[in-house]
Amino acid sequence: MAKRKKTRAPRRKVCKLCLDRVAHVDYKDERRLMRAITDRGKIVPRRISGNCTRHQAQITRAVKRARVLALIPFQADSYR
Amino acid sequence: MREYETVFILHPQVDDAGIEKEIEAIQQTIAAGQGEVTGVHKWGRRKLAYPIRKVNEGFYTLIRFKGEPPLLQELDRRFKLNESVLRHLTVHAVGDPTPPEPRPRDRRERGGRGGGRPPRGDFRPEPRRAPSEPRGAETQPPAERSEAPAPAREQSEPPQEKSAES
Repeated sequence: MAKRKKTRAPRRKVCKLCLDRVAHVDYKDERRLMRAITDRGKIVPRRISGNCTRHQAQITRAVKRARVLALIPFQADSYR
Repeated sequence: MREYETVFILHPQVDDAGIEKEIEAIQQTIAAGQGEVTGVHKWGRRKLAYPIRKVNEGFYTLIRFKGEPPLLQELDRRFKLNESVLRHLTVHAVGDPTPPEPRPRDRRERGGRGGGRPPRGDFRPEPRRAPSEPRGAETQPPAERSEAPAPAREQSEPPQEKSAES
């Protein structure tokens, strides 16, 4: 049986951030950023998150800044 | 003059007086560079997401100000020379005069996630005897799985087992 890819872009879905009309993603906005990274600390790709280009770019920028400020980790499994 | 905001992290061993002094010094640097401080927000001690210079927490402060580019260079220079400053980041300030203060990650409940996303394990730093808030909630061990998905999995297992048996 052909294996279906689990990760399929939810194309019909629009960008959640666009729905909420988020103007700017803040690197200090820890809650939103934590939702945008995986359990390993990686940024969730656009094809999974469904974000539009603009918001995905804002998320990426914010996550990278937050990482520098140690608000979120670079790697989430190796600080033991 | 554009508006900027700088977040900097001070070493946890700096005492309160020392923190005040550092903040004062920065404000004076801004003023001396024809800048204008529009806001100072202390976030207090916070656990770091990863160790910096061997320490696991630091004192976060945010300063909003207006100024010219040369001032930014001077600020940057001072931060780099200051050994008490573990990290600093200066950025264009965007809207929002009162920036959201990120909550300390220590005791936050991890809720379940919406469908369609890979399940997120629980990332919890090892419980440390941090000087802040000695709550009894430290009984939460650094488990590999968060509490929320675990009950869901337990519920789905029994029906499968029953069908396998029959």
